[in-house]
Amino acid sequence: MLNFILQRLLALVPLLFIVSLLVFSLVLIIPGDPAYMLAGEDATPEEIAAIRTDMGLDDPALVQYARWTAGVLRGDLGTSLFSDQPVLEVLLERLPVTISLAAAAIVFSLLISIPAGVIAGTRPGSVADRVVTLGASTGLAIPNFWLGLMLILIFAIWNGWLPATGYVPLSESPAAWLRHILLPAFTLGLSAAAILTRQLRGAMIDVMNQDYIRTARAKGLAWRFVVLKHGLKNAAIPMVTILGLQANYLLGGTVIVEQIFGMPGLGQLAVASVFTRDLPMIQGVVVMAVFVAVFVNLLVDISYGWFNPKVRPQ
Amino acid sequence: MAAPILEVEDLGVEFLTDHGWVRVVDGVSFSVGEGETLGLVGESGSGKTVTSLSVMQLIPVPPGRISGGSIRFAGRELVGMSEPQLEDIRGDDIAMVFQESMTSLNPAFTIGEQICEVVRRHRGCSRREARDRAVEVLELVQIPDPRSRLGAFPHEFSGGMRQRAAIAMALACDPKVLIADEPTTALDVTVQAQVLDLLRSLQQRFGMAILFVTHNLGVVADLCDRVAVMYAGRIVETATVFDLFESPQHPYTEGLLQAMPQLGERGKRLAAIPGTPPMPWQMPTGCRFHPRCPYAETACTEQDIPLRALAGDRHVRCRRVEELTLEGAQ
Repeated sequence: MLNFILQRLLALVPLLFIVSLLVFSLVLIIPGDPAYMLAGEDATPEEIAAIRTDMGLDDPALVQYARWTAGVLRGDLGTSLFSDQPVLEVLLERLPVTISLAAAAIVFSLLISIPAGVIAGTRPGSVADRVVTLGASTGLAIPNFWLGLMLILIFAIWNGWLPATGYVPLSESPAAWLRHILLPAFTLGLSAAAILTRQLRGAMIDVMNQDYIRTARAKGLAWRFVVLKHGLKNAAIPMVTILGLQANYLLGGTVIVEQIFGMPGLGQLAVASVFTRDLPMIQGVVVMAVFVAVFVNLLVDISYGWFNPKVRPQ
Repeated sequence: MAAPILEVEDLGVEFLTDHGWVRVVDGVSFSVGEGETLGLVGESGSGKTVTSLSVMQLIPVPPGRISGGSIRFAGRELVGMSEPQLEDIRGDDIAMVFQESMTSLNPAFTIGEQICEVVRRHRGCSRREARDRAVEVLELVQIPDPRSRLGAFPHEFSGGMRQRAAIAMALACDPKVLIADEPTTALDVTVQAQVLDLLRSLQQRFGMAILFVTHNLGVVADLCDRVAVMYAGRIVETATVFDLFESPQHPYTEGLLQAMPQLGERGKRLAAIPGTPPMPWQMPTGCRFHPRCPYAETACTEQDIPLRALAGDRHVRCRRVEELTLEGAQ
């Protein structure tokens, strides 16, 4: 298993190289000169030139790239152009917010999709199946910015059951964390829940027609047990694939959801940094997002082996 | 015949299709004595697999249903029995081995887990005891080094080993009846012979009754005591293996025997039965075999032919049985 993980990590090297090129080229692509932005409206050309030299912006792109990459490898993502804080420090401050939002959204989508998919997939054509299928289509059709606003309206403004905005760290107060995370997680996770439900329903229908389900029944195992043990473990294989993809979409979705619910996460930071042209910060956010996505995919690959022994490394 | 442990009487099974409710098994009766091996023989679509699944009450409902008849195990009626009671019998008193071991074993669980599961379900024993029993039955089916094989997954076994493991799983709770649905069809001929030998020796040792479903008469001759031949959802002939091979009484049985390749007869053409079996929604009137029967007369097409008892515990569904002398196998 360790070997397998090492192999996967090694395979990441070329990927990360390409990503680093793309992230770095942001500097070259984005219109506007960071030195100009930094120096302010009234700066003289000499001052701007001094800042350029100071920041190394006059060096050839290759040298700049090498310097930047070396920094990233040492964990130095540069300094924010505006707050003068080290980028990494800001990112690490924001990361837990985004991670807990995305994780809560995934947990929520699984809590919905597993029972719904199993119920629909084991009784195709039944009333329950139709309700689930209709629900999944609806869930997919609702855009999350609209859903977020509606939830705030209903749960926060009209009824005051839950806070509309803000975030409380889990370590500070689990109850307050949950109250703050509930609406954003629902908003973010609904479409994933719908997609996973559809996926599981289809896989379950297929799996329940397999010979090994009949074998399990022939052993005298109860239907419910056969569904949840023999059926679900096999039906989960395609679902895990989709879950991995969805996890990446969810990270992207946090950008909007964090805006709506005023959560101080990476998504919000990304938006703010783009508006202020805080290049090192944008680069940092992208690098962090890539690391998270890569880590999630690694988890997915590892969990495949558990669900599907055929892909387990020998 | 020993006292019957499994009795099937006038079994009817229907499936809902585009043609409405279609009866795929019609008035099937047979019994299997304790320690006896009954071969259930027929072409694909003759209803033999549906019959064997009905014994386990495992036909998919819907689209299927048992429309009538009775299935008794040791005197207990299985048709209409409650699901929990059936579950107590399945895998414990009556166990089943299926055709394709690649698909009938769950790819996501180890062989050991799949055997332990049935032991724990019916014996209610501890994990450790279940593992010991799993090792024991894997040893019985001659899997080398069974303890270390418990952690293997089905795809890590060869076809023959998988089928042995499936047999081990079926035997784990000492069933009184073993239903084997074409258990050797998917195997190489040499492996086939090994698995048949294994089944025979296990039966001699433990004395369970076997209902052996197959289309292969050679396997029947090898393993079975008696045979029931099915055609188009009905039993057309039952007899001891010896009688059936020596003097078949139904033209369909004769056709099957003639279609069997025989050693030492190079150059002689194999006799195929002309035509194809009827679809269940367009069964011929009268004798269902008459469109393909070389001995059919007008009278054969007119009314249902009952299964008639002959001397020596034989039954045949043919109105011309007295007139015809049919050719057996050499």
